[in-house]
Order: sequence, then structure tokens, then C-alpha cells
Amino acid sequence: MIAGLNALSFTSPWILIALASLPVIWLLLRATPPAPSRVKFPAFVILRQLTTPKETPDKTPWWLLLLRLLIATFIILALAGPVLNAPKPNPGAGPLVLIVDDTWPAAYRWQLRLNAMETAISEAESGQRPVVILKTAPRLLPTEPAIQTADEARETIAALRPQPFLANRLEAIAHLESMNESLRRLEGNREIYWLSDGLQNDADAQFVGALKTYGDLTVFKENVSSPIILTQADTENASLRYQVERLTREGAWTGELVATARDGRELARQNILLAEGENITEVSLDLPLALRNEVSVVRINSVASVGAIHLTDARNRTALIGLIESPGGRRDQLLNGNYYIQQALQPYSAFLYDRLENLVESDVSVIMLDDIGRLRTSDVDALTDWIERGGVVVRFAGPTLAEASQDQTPPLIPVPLHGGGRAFGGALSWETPQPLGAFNDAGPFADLAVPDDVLIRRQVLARPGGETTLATWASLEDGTPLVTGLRQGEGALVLFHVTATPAWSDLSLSSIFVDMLRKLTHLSILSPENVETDETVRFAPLRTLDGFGRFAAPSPSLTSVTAADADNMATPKQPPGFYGSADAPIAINAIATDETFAPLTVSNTTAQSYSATPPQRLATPLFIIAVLLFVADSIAALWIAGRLKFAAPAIIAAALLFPTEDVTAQPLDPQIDEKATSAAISTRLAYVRTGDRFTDQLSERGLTALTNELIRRTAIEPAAPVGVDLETDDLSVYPFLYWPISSAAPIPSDVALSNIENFMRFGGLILFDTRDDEQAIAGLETPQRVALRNILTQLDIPPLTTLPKDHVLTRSFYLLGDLPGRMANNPIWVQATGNANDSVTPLIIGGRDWAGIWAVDDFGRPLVPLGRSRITENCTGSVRECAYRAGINIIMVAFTGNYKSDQVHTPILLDRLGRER
Amino acid sequence: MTPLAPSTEIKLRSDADQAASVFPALMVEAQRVAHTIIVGLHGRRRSGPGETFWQHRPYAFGDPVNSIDWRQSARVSNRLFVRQNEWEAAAAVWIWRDGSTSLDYASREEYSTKRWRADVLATAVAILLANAGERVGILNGEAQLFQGRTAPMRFLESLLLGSTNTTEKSPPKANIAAGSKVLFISDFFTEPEKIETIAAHYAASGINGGLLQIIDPAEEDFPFKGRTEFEDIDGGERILFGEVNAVAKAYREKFSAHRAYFTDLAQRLGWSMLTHRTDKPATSVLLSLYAAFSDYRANSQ
Repeated sequence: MIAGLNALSFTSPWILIALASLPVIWLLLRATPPAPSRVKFPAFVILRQLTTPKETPDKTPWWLLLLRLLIATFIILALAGPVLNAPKPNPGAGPLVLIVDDTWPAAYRWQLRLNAMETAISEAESGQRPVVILKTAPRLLPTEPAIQTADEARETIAALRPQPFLANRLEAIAHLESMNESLRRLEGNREIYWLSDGLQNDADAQFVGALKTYGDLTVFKENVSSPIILTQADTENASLRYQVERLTREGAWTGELVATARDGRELARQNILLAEGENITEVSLDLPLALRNEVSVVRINSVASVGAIHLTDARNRTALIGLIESPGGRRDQLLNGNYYIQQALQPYSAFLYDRLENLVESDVSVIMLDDIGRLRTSDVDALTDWIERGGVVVRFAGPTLAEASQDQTPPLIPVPLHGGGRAFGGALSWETPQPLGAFNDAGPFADLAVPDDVLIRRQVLARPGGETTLATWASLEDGTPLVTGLRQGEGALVLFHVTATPAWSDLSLSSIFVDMLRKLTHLSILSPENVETDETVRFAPLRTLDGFGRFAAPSPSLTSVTAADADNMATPKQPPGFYGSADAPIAINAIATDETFAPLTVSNTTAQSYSATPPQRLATPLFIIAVLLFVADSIAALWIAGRLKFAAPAIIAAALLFPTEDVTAQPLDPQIDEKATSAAISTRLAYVRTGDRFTDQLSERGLTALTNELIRRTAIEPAAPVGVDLETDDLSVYPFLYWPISSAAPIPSDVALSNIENFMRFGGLILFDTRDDEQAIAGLETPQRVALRNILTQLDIPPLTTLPKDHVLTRSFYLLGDLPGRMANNPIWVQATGNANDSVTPLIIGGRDWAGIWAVDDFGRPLVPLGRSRITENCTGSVRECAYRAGINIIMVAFTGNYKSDQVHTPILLDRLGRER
Repeated sequence: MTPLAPSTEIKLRSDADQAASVFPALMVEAQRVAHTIIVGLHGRRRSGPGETFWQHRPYAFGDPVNSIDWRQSARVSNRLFVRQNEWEAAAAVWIWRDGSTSLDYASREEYSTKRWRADVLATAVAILLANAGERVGILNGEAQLFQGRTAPMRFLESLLLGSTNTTEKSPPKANIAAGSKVLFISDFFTEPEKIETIAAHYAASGINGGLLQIIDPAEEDFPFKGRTEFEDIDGGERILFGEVNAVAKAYREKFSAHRAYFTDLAQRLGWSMLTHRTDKPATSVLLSLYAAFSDYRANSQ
């Protein structure tokens, strides 16, 4: 407290005499009445008759008096010019030379430097001494130092910003020498203050020696804190690793590492802890593999210095493999081809799961298509283009592809396939499995050794011919192709004639699988290593960093750089930042990867630490307090006068609207539309809107009735059903889709088709209903069926089969023999068993008008008359009751999958348990 | 009639629009208020020209022969009866409503202004009188009386078109027929002598009348405190009181004295004096007002 009082001094203390006038002000204020409240009043004829007694002023409340006296006191104090920690006048006479390390390590505690400079200049000012300011950071256009007055020096300081480079102190010496002559002309002893950034430089000894020849040297150093430096550590396979370094070991330091994408999305956040006695630590950012390549800027949150920022560009990225289908949460991942591909390439690449059209747009270098049968024409075109540009598409065979190639070879297959009469399931059936035979010398696998532990049990067969022989990169012992490939444009198209799972062969269990996939990955010229090595291409600066680590528009005097330049250290000609196009910029970091840092050690000089308490002029805060008090006084006066009616809400509103927190950029999040949100919160059934009002109404009525029955009978309690638009709505939130097909049903657009495919792939169930069962006597072709066939040929669907007797659909809730609807003449089609998706069918195709039989009106009366439906076995109720049971079974399958089919084995299990007992 | 200058015409038009905008609301309220009193065409309680039978009286010499009620006379031998009907005459009532700005005042938002209340009451009285078959007019110099079904409408129209926002606070001296009645509606915040002169002028012409004082509760109760500056409603004059509470008592005394002057005046002239506060429903004063301006009182006796 006493020290604090000692530190307080006044520039013009005589003004304090005015404090003596406060009692007078008190009396004056007492005598002045507060403002009256003003009232409009018509009865003046009576008021005028009132003899006003002597007007005694209403007393001003004591607290208002006190408030006003306080205002007066603060104004007087402020006028007296109080200064905390006023600098002691320095009696020297010669010039004062300030050498400032305006480099990025200094940016971290830049205020300390400013304070020290301000103090030094104030000292010089009181001694009428000239000031010279020398900057050590390299600049594009260095300015010659000049001998300045204190005020000029203050202006120089105000314009001084830390540069994003390291100090070049010898250059400062050169500048000092150049003005030696003029310095010598000034009398008095020269004083030199070196405001160091605390980093050791190669030529420090030489620098100090040179400075000493000019005058008395004082070195300013930071005693506690030191710059925090962020560099990228060696990237191990999975996570991004960063190294955080400081120069001292004292005290613990905590911070936060934040990684953001190019568009400002925050990707990861990780705490950093530098414990006491520790000066270096490694932090790893655990990011999903797909997000890793999006990392653009990594920074330490609390440190404002370009040394605490690491910029990343495409060159730091790992090869990205694009895969279709979801990886999420399937218990049967061992049946999933993607799993084997990912396992094989995990250490070398990152993976991106998305839709095909998105994959083509993204920066993946290889796209793996695991057992995809039909591709839509738009996708085929996009993929072909992409291959021409240098992408590599690797396809794996499987039941779906075999099915798709039955009639004709689908597009984007390197060789014509032997489809024809060979039905799904077996392209060949050998007596004995075939081992791998040979790798083609011309193919990418030429230098691989042929293993003897790989046996192939099934494959899709290529049509033999010269073309096929040329395209065969790996073949079996009998000469049939195992891997065929075609180079197209810059890229390649490859087909494995077996599945990626071990279902058809041992290939994916063998180490040769890893080698083969890696070779294929290297084929892609879109791999990150190949990003842009052309020496002649120049990149214009896009966004550059200043010393504080803030992005700014590049200075117009900067020139473009080449990719080779970018590998070098940042210099004034190429400050750190992003260069090139905004889509794929290259980055220049302030710190070169191999740079090492050491704390500054200077011997034989006067060392001083930066003072934490600079001189503080208190006049401004005192004035501000006085103004605030005056505002309070005005409000109080208004309140007393009773005129705060409108002022009060205004003041409260202003106080509330005043931003209390720093306004910072908010992380970017994609918008989710309201319909999807509500459907995600409460599950509901959905039907496809056909555009025909009657059909849609019937679908809704039918699903509503089914929903009510579900709520009544089962644990599934869906909300009211909704109609969806295949093109615009997010289907992923619905478990079940009812799709009535009319004869006029158009073929959905490509967007809609891929939405449907994704819906089925991600576990949704679609019930296609042609509602024509009675017309289709003995499998007769009906217009509805033609329409359905047109749609289905566009879709990538699994092989189908008629509903088997013991299918899980017939026993998921009720035990039924069939799934009756309003009509029940022709069979129902579902996915053939033993397939992907855990054998749960993603679609049911029939023509039985289920919605028609489910639908009831508001009073529970059926809307549509029954057809000539057979009463199915195992169903003892009415036809409608049986239809509801069928509906409940279908919904149960949509929700629980083949869970119930396991229960088929319950009697056997119980029997077995009993036997054991 | 000389054609009006365009600007006058426009002004008149806008004034009329403005007046018409409050017209329906005012009419509805006035009608609602008026319907609390059920009246019919009232008799004068004496024989005279009319349609309702009043009495039979014995024939006297000089009665016209055709006035003899032969049927009645036949019942009694040797006597002749004359049939007399009740005298039904329509009276004329002239209403003056203060047009000065001092009526545009309501101390609280939930109270209606004095002008609104004055307009409502004037129209309500007009409705009642018109329903009773009597004639009403506005005491504004134009000697026009309204009668019949449309009378209230036309009355209100000319009431609203009449001048407001004036500083004139006393009714005009007009020449109206003896036997009619006048009603002054105002807050009477003016020198009482002026009103007295006017009232005496009418009383001297044999005209009966009434005064209706409409005041705001604040004007009677004077609920002000602290340092207060009063401003006249037209913004002209200001009076500052350091502590208004100190003069509140004196104010209330002066106010009573002011009102007593008018009560006294009414008594002297044989007129009626009614007071009404805007925090009370309009119906409360209407009954006594109607009673004073028709022979309703006589009827009820």
C-alpha cells in the first residue's frame, strides 16, 4: 500500500488546491433544488388563486450531493495529472539508443517491450536527450534509423509491430555504424538499451562486442516467461503430432492447441501442459482420418505469436482413400469388404467414407468400390473424368457385381465379363480351389513375389480374348484373371475378380493384398506427394501472417514464390502464410522444421528485466469514472423528477445490448433442416410422395393406421407418419419407407436414386408396392410393374428372391406364412439370403396394396374394399388383421433386423441346454 | 352559397374525415349509454293537441260541437261530454359543449378525456330527446334543430364539426325561442361571472336550463406531491410549486368554492346543476340529466 502511494505522483500538484473548494460546492449544490416534475393541468383558474407561500426548495438527497461532490473530486484529481510509477529522471545528456528485437518471439509479450520503450523515452524526455530506435528484424524495405526527439520516437514506437521473422542483429550494427558520424557529433555519454527477444543468435557475442564500443549497454531480458514455440513433430501413422517448446524450465504452463480447417471450422482442441522443469512436450491431435487432411492451421490458443502457429498444406497430407458405405457401428464388420481394405492400408493412408459423387469432388486419390453392381450414368461419367485426371478406381467383385453383369458387362469394368447364363453366386465352381498363378510383367505388380498361400474359391470370369490377356495384371494358375486393370488417361481402372472379404478367396488375408493395394495407390497421380512440383509455377501470396500470428491481406509489394521457395525459411520476401489458390494453397511457416532455439546468454553487460509496471497516467481513467458518475447523476436526477418512464427501459436495453463478451468468430456448423430434426427426435414411418393426391392420402392413412396398431401392440411407438420427397429430404432419419408405384411413376433423378441407394445401404427398409396384384394374373406384365422395373434397373440393388417360407419377415413378431395385403396372389420379392447387410433385406417388392388395407378413416372404418385375398396359413384373424400383422412384422424387421431369426434356434438351444443339465 | 376556396374545401374535408373517424365509436358509446334509459313519447299531463286520450269533461259553452264525444254522452242522460286528448308538444333543447382545449385532458390513461365524455353525454342526451320526439340543437349561433330518427346522427356530425381547441370557454349569446331549454356542458374552469352573465341572459328570455360540469378526478382530488410545475393544457402558462402537497388543501377548498358558485347560480335561476367525474360511468349522470331536461321527473311523480 505504502509502496503504491510512493509510486503515485502528480504532474501538476498545485491543481489539488482546488479540493479545498469542495465544501463550497457542497453548499451551492444544497441550495439548488432538483428539477421539478412537470404536469399538464387544466384547472388553472383555481391554481391561479392559490397564494404560493415562499418557495422553499425541495431538499436534494444527501447521496445525490455526495455523488456530485465525488464527480468534482475526480475531475480535480484527473486535472492534477496523477502518474503511477513515474520514471525517475535520468540525468545523462548523450543520446539514448534503443535496439528493439521486433521479432516474433517478442510478440508473445510485446506489451513489456512497449512499456520498456515508453519508460526509456520518458526518461530521455525529462533529460532532453535525443533518441535513436534500431529495429533488428529483417524487413523488405529497411528504414534508416534517425536521431529523434522523444515525441518522434513515440510515434515510431506506435507504428512498430513485431515481424514474423527472427532477428538479424548484425544488420542493426551496420545501420548503427552508418550513423556513427552524426552520433559522434552529439555530446554526452551514449546509453544503449537492447530490448532483446530472449533468443540466442549466432552472432550475439559479436553484436554485444560491437555495441559496447558505442556506449554503456543495458540488456533487457524476460526473467520468467519465454516464447512458446510450436513445430510439427514426425507424424506417426494415425495422429498428427506437434511439439511445443519453451526456453525456460521454470513454472508450469498450460495452453490449448486448436486445429482449424481452411474454412474456419474448428477440427480439434487439445490441452498442452508443460510441467515444472520441462521445456518441451509433444501433443498429438487425434482426428478422424478423413478430417486429418482438412487441418489447415494449428495454433496455440492463448499465445499471440507467429511462432505458436503451424500452417499445413496439401504436402503434409497422407494419401486419402475414398470408400463408399458406412463404417459405423456394424457388428458384422468382418463381412464388410471395406473393413479389409481399411485394415490393409491403415498404416499408409487416411480414409474418407462418403457418397460416390462427393468422393469424386473431394481430394481422394483412390476410390475403392467394394461389390458395387450398377453405377448411375452420371456417376460413370464423373468417375471416367476423374480417372482421366489421374484417379485410380479399384473395384472388387461380389454377388452384386455378378448379378449386375448377368446380362451385359456394366460400365467401368476393365474387361468384358463372362456373365450370360451364369447365375448369381457362382461364376465358376471348381473341383479344387485355385492358387495365385502369376503377376503380369507389364502390370504394376511385376516386382511382387507370387505367394503360395492364396487360394481362390470363386471369381467373376472375364471373357477370354487378347484384350483380356493384356489387361490381366494378376492371374490364377489356370490363367484366368484375378486382377485386371486398364490405364485410362492419367489414371487407372482396376478390378479384383474376387471379393474384398475372405468369402471367395484368401487374398484379403494374405500380406500380398497389402502390397497389391499399395502398388495401386501409388498409381494415382492425385496422391499428395504429387501435388505440384513444377519449378516454374509461381504462387501469389494469399494470406500472410504478422508477428502476432494474425492473418492479413498480403502486402502489395510481395512477389509470388515457387514451390521450391516455399520449402525454405520465411524471409521478408516470403513472409509466413498461405500462397497460391484458396482451394489448394501451399504454406510457408515462420519456423523451419530443423530450427533449434536456445535462450539468450550475454555476459559482462548490465542486465535488466522488463518491468511489469510501466508508468501509468491515471488521468484518463479518472475522467472516465467522472463521466460515468455524471451519467449516474443524470439518471438519478431524472428519476427524482419522475421522468424516468422512457429513459429506464432505454438504459436497461442499452446495458443488456452492450456486448459483455469478446465477439469472436463462431465455429461453422452445417444446418440440419427442421423436418429431419423432428424425425430424428421421434422416429416415424415415411412414405414416398408420388404427386397423386389420392395415393398420397391413402399412404398416409395406411401408415397412420399401422402406426396406431404398432403403438397398441408393440414397443415401437412411432410419431405420425410423414411424406418424403426423395430428392430433397434427408432419408437417413427414417427407418422405413413405403413407396407406392403407379403406372405413371417417373424414373427418379440421379440425386434421388443415390439417396435411395444410401438409404438402403445404411440399413433402411423400402417397401415397393405396385398395387396391381389382382391384375397381374399368373405373373402378367402390368404397367405398374414396367414402371417399377424401370426404376429398379437404375438402382444398385442386391440379388432378389421370392419370400422364402422361413424368412425373418414371417416371424419377426407374429408367426405368419405370408405377408398378405389387400390382395395376395403373386409372390413377394426380397433380398436373397447370405448377402451383405447382415442378411437383412433392404427392400420388399410386392403388389399387394398394403396401405390400402391398413387405411381407415377417422372413425376406424376401412377406406378401401378387400380384394380377393387368400387367407394365409398361420393367420387366424380376418384378412385385415392378417394385413396388420404383416405390417407389424415388416416394421419389426426395419427396426430390429434379423434379430428374431436368431430366435428360430431357441428350441434347439433350449433342448441343448436341457440335455446338458 | 358561394363556392369554397380549394384550400378551405380540403381543410374541411380532412376535418370531416377526422371527425368521422371517431364518429362510430362515439355514436356507439352514446347509444349504449342512452339505452340504459327507456323512454317513450311523453305526455304533458294536461289536455291539449295530441293523440292520446286524456279525459272527458262536461260540455261547456263555447266548445265546438264537433268536439263532443257522442258515444260517451249517450251513456248518461242529459249530459254532454267533450273528449280531450293529452297535449303532446315537442320541446327544443339547445346543447352547448365547451370546445376549449382544457377539455382535452385525462389524468390517467384508463380515463377517457373530458371531451370524449362530454361528447358522449351530449350525444346520449340528444338520442334520448330525439327518441322522445323532442328537438335538439347545438348552441353555436346556427339556429338549427334536429328532430326524428336521424337527429342524433346529424347532431353528432355538427357537434364534431364544430370548433374545438379554442380558448373561448363560455357559451354564445344566441336568440332562441322562449320555452326552450339550454344545456351547458363544460368543466367551467373559467371566471364564473362570465358564465353567470350568459346564463342570466338566457334565463331572462324565459329559458330554462342546466349546467353539467365534467371534471377529471385529478382536478378534484389534486393528488400531486413534491416539487411540481403545472403547465396549462394549451401550454401557455406555468406555475411552479416547491411543495405542492402544502397547497393541496387550499386547492380543494378553492375548487369547492368554485363549484359552489355554479350550484348557487343554478339555484338562483331555477336551473339544474350536475357534476360528473370521468372515472365514473357516463350512465350515472345521464339519468339525472335526462330527468332535468324532460318532464321525466314529473312523470315519475
